Amino acid sequence: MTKDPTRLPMVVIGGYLGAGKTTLVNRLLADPGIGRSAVLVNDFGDIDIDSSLIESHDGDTISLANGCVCCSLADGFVLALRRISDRADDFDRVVVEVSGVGDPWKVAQWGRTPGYQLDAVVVLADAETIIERSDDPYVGTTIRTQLEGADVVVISKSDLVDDTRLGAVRRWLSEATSAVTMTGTAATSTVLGFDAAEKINRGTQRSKSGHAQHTVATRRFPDALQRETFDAAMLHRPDGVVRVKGHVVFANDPDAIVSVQVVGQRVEVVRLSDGQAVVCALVAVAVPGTPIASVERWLSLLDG
Amino acid sequence: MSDTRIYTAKIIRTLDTGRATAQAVGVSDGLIMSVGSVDELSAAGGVVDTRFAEKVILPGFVEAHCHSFGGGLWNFSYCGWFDRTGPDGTVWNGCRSADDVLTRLREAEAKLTDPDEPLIAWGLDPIYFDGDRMFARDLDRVSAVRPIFVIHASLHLATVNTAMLDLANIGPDTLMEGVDKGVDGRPTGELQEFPAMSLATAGFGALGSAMMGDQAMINFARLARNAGVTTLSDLGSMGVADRSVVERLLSIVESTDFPVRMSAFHNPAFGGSGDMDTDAALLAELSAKSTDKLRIGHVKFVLDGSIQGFTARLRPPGYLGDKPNGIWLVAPDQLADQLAAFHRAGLLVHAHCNGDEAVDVFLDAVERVLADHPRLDHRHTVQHCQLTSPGQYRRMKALGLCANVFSNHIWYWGEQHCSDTVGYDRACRMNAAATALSEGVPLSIHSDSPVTPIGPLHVAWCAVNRVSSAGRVLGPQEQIGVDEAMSAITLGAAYQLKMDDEIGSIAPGKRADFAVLDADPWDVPPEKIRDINVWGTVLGGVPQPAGG
Repeated sequence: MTKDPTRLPMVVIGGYLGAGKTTLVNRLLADPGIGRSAVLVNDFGDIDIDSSLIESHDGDTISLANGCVCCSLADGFVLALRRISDRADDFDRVVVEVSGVGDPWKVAQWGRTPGYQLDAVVVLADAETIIERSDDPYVGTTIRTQLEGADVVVISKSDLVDDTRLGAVRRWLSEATSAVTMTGTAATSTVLGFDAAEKINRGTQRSKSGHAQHTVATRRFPDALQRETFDAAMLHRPDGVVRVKGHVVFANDPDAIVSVQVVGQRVEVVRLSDGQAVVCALVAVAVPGTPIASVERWLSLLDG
Repeated sequence: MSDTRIYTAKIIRTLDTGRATAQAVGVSDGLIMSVGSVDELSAAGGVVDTRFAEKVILPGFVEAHCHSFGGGLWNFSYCGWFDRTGPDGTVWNGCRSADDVLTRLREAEAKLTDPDEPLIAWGLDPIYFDGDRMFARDLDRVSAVRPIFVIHASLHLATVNTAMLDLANIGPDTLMEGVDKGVDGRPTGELQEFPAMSLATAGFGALGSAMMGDQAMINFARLARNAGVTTLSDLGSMGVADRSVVERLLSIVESTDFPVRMSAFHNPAFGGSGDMDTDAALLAELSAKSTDKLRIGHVKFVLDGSIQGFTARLRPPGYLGDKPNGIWLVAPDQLADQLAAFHRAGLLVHAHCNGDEAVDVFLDAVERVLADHPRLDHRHTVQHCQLTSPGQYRRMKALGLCANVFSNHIWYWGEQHCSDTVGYDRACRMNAAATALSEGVPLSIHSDSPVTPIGPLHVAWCAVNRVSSAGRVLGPQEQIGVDEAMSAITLGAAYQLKMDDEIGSIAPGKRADFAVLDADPWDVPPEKIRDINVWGTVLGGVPQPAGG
């Protein structure tokens, strides 16, 4: 599945100070397996790029040999977004790192402006501190708001806590957010979406970047779907299914093709403008280790 | 000194303890030569200029907190509730009903010759109307074909007509949060916050370009002059730690079209390298580019949002109705380090703190930074101070901090603070200028224009009277005297810019910057101070009539 040629997918990364946003950004920039990302960061201060990868450093922009660029937001967010969309063909996606006190869901609204499509809102949660920080008189509400707006929550620093603590964090998060929650570095491709997952699964660079194989299931839908069945299925997905994407036709509106995008708990169904010819199919991506049979069976229920 | 020009006046209020009032002031080479009687000054030689003989001369006012991009709004029609005066001196009557707004828009529409040009207007504040809101269907009565974009007074909200919705392809399927939709699922025409407003590119983009342009700053400087201002503090509208920005500012401010001095504060959120130490060093270096008219080298941090927008950070008991607390624009944990970078470089820092919790965070940061890096006479300043408590003022005094109080709020939002944000009791304690003074904190007061119109006499009137737009006095115990209010809009504001030895009062050797008024603020009833007509200013000895 390739990106819509006119709209660049936007992935928004949030989370409080120290939650690991910059670590994740550094990993994305260094990862040769996930395609060309334009990464917007507040400042270059903590960005750590292997100097052999840097092709040029021009004030606000660092260009890398792997096709990625890293732009600082020094001149403001709107200008940076415009600069990226002006050369949208050069990128597979834009990744926005939100400040530690920023509200990623609010920032994500820019992903719904012309030239972009909102892909995922990813919020990092520090396993060591998230529960206590959420009660901090100054930043507790900030952190809770960040989690509430997330599609995907990645628990960071899970290797620094024991299983009891990790379990407590998971239970706490299940109350604090409706997002799909996952741990660890396996999240990279889930964060970045389908084409990244596919690139990794094709194994082009898997050994080097150490990605685990994702579960990816596809099903074509030559016939119209019942809207009620679809809605119910999206609400009750097999564990581990993080993303669903594609196009379908609903029986109650048989002349229209609709695009479907599901990230975490956010289900977006948009009627396409007339005359766009696409194959009706859905592809679902689940975290590594998810049995493909369960995902395929779930997709087959949509036919019903 | 034959080239001395001796201005006479009905009275000169110098705000200088050396000679509080005078009849004449001698000016040469942009500086004040002497102050006194006409006879005293004539004896030393010079030309007597009687053009202000029936006027009242005060030190030029110093607007302590404003944003020059606001001048860009005047490229478009004003349709707000309060009367406002444009840069050219035109008085725009307030629109007191939805029908007034539509009439104003029809007049503006009739003047557009290009049928494709969008109609843009600003200042809408339907909270004062019976209907409370305005929608696309209302604006459609102005035009069904020309796209219309009306931004509200808060600048966080716009109402557009159906033609604009269609042009921007905003419909039932638009997923953007902030695109308001009715029960039928169709957009109502209200676009909330910047991402949603930006969908209406034809309006939002044109407005943004106007506000970013040079003409916006020139318009703003003229508005300031019309209000008697000779120095304005552009409080963090841009990232100034940038050579090209400073060059641009110099080219605008040094032009004779720009009738005020300006201190342009660097806002780290709007520009710079992102590394505070690098920016501090560059800003310190760029401060050498400062001229008589343009000052570079101060810094502004923004800690929280606004009280009327429910985004300011409040201590308990917080907002009425258990509304959630506001937002941070700087991480409290990071503030001290960021502040330290500029403090160590010897620079002056002002911090936007509307809510009292934001003040706590700033005071803690200042305390830490001063413990590590003691510095005399830093004059760091808390901006807005809307809910600052007496205890916080005592800490500010101990830490050497100044207060710049948002006195205009009492008039513009006092009633909303009573009913919606914090309630009557706290509304009566807001913007506590009297407490600041009694606790010994150096005081200025401000408009935050374009949030409220620039007009130091209006701000002073607010601080003296504390009357809301409904006509009731909120917190008489926080009223200050005319002496104190006039000092706050002159010497008090100059002190917080570290310019008080240069401007802010009328004394030998200081800059010949005057506000020229038709009446004496000490001689009119206090409730009439804001009604005093401003003739214009004198900037560096050169008369600058309002509307010119």
